Amino acid sequence: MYSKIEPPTKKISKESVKVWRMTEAITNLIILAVLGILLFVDDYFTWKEWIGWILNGLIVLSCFNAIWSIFIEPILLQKYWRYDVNEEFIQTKRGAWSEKHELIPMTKVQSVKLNQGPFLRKYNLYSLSVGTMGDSHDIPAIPEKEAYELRDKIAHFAKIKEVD
Amino acid sequence: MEEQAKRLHPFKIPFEFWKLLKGNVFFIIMLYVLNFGSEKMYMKVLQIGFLVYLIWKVISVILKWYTYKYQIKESAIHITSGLISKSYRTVPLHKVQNVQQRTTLFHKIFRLTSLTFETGMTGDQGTVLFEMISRKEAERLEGEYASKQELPVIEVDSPEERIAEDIQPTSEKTIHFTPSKQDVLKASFTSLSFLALIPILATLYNTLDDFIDLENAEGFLARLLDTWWIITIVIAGLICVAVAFGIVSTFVKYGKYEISSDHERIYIKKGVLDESAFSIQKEKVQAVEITQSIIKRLLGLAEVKLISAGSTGDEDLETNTLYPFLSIERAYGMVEEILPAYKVERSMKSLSKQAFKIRMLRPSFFWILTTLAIYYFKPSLWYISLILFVLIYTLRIMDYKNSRYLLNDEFIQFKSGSLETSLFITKRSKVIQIEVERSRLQKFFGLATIETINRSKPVHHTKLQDVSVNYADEFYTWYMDRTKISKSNSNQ
Repeated sequence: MYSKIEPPTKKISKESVKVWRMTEAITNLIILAVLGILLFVDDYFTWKEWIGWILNGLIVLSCFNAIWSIFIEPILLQKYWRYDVNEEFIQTKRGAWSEKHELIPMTKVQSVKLNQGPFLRKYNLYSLSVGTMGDSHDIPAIPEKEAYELRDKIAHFAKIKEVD
Repeated sequence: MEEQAKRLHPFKIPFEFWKLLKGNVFFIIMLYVLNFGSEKMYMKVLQIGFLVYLIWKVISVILKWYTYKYQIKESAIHITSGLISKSYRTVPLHKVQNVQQRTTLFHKIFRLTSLTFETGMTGDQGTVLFEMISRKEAERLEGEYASKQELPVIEVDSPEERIAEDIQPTSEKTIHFTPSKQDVLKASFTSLSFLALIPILATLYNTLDDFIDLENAEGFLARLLDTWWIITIVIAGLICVAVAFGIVSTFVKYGKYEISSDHERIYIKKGVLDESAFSIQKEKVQAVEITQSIIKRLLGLAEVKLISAGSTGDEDLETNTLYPFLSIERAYGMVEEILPAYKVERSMKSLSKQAFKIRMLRPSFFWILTTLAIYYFKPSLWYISLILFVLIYTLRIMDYKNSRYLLNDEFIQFKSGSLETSLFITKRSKVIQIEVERSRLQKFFGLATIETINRSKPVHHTKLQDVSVNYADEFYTWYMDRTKISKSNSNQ
């Protein structure tokens, strides 16, 4: 790959790791809480035995999932996420285990949008989503100034060549 | 070019009444036939309430027809509708991706038709439907649409194609294909339509069984079946009926096929009782797909589909399909004939030995899970695991053998599939995005998965697994070059 083309180089913000950790921690906490309550109810009303088994199994699985998605996944995601925007294309590359490269021509871009949730706001970050005729593509966690610049840049480039 | 805003044909009103009646037939019978003159209080309330509802519906149907007006001006369709809250809709004609016309038997009786303009927009708003208009009006609207197409459209990759079209007159139509008797025969056997008689016979037997006691007639039947020549006659008769039935049903569906084109667009017309017509501007064809089921492959037949960015209506109607039983040679030829801008290369590259290895090594999670489940729950069924294993690997090998790819100038061709193969051809300017993916295993073998995304409804993803990484690189560069060419063009 990339014998004639420059691979994308821009990284997303390091703070994104913290943001992902927080969101993941909360979601996993909710999942565990729900499962815990179910287990309690199961015990209290003495439901069928197999339900208890399934609940226990699910709790173990979501514990593993929590460890993976809170401690390991965010680091890998941040480390391998690359993007680049030039006059003609948006390029993204991501994934540690299996690599995924995307190439989106500017002429096919229909919309650009900045999003900011509460955690992103804490670190003054934005996620940028680019809508094409097919679907939308997100670049997560970019610092505020860069995000605004990037949005305007994409909007400008996308406007130049208007095709069907 | 000012013209009066028009309404749909008045026949829309009885047609809507009929739909209303059909939709509420259960309630109507319940309330006004079975419980007619009932003394119960709640029944009376329901009867009156439903009557009010029906009257309201009838009035609204008439008002809807009355307020729905359309008009084509300044190369856009303008639609006004609604009585109290008015809505105005404007659809620019150059956004229309394809046009469909459907004439059911009902339409035919009254010399009407329904016309649909499809734009590429998502959601219901993407479709402009004229459900009941006279044939003449439909022709006028289509003509209007066609004449408005000579607007300058900016084309990224190949402006020369447009220029060529502009020079030549657009009126003359050439017919590329109408099925002969032989084609219909071939089609009826390929589609196995004669098998459709079996469920019909089964229902017939069941209904007969309700009236005559067939179970008890068995003794008589058994005696009858003892004589071999009666059996032969019966079977021969049944086969004849089945074949005749198959041919007739195929003829009704595919008999009056006509594929034609002029310089601007392609027309597909079909159907004997219910007619449907599809037309698309040549440059709005997003891609071409040639599919072959296993039976078609054995008989050397193929099906060609034109992919449009707009919706193509009911899947079963196959409106965007060129005749689905073309011989493979004819199919390739037809694509080049109706789309002169397309080049179809027959010889394509096959996958490497590395790809074969990876496909043999790649674990099948489906097989592993089933095997585990069988081992755990019912070890006596071990042979199912074995059969599944053989099946999965056979399909994998078939897919490997069928996979082909080619970059041909500004065209890309992908072919893959195990039982049913599909060859996908598209132009670089019509690809809206590409993706390259490399898993760990693929990195080890120096392979990659390439994918193109095209406009369609829903978006069309085409994937080819396990091409060499050099090729993926070439693919990436090829797509990058799309704008380089357009730049040099814009300088011209």
